[in-house]
Amino acid sequence: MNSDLDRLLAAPPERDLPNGRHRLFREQLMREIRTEKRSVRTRVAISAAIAGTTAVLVGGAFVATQTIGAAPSKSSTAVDAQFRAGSASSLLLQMAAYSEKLPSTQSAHNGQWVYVKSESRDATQPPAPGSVSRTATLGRRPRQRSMGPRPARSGRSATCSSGKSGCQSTRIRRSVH
Amino acid sequence: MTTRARVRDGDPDAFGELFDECARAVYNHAFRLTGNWSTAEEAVALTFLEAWRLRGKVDLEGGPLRPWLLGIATNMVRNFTRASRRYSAAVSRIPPPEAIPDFADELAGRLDDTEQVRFALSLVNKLRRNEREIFALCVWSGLDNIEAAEALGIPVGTVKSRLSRARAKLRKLVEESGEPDVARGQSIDNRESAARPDGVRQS
Repeated sequence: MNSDLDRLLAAPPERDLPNGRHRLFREQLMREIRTEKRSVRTRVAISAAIAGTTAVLVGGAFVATQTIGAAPSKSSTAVDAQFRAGSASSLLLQMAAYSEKLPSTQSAHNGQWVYVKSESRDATQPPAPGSVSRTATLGRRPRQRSMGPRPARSGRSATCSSGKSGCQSTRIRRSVH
Repeated sequence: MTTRARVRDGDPDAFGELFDECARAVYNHAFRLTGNWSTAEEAVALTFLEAWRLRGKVDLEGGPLRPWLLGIATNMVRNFTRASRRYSAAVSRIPPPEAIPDFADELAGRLDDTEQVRFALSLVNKLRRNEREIFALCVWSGLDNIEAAEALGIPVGTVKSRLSRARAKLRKLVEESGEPDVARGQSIDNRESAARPDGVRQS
């Protein structure tokens, strides 16, 4: 009985897309995919550059803070030399590679505060590539605990609430278009 | 690596193959829902763009991706205005079809098909939207109940009950319409029913 009804209201024979439209739509789809992949790569590179630059700035400020007032030692001279020698660019590349491996679900929206955490274990040692700082992009502002110090609202950087030595966090406003 | 895994990973080649394989099915399904070939063409473009956007939701386990695409096409037709707005930039980059007239017999065939579908649609459009979509997927596009459930993201039992209700209403509508051309037109084609038993996949 159902088959009788289905026969009565059966669909007409299937048709192909009109001449050239199949190829056109396919090319359009491929073009959109390529465009989106390119824009994603650009976004990742920009965020990595922001994170890397921030890490370098924070690291530099931290080293300067630790060495201020003290006589220039051999190790601090080595740090300066390494920064001058362009280790920042190699650090940026490492940041970019690390950021590409991060899941993209924690993307920040326009105007959101993004905390970039960097951690230096030993300020007197020159930052070895890959281990000088650990940068993580946090999607949301972490909940404040009563026991920890609040990050400064107006400052560019503040001490990390974990209380670890050499741990700093900086917040940056990120614009995503 | 399976097609599902490649699609989920955003492999452009997998999407190209998927387009070659399923564009025709999506085109015809969209036509059956709208009764308009031009709208169906646009729905094809929008459906695959939406599929690309939703690729992360593809289950790694499962059969062919045709039901998934037909489900996207169904939603696309349902929210055509919103979808057109979302992809307005992409759609605007598609050149309009060339103004080459169809051959006379093909044109006549198209008109016949369009008339036939219009009559069927006039009856099917009297159903509730969810019953109409189930009928188009199960009867016209030949999905079984499991595939239709996957396409629309609803339980199999819901598919069965909606399809049963749709058939009961349509049977009544056909009896009331007393349209002789329907029976005559379909008997010329002498086609078998598009409905398939549960769980039987198309080869």
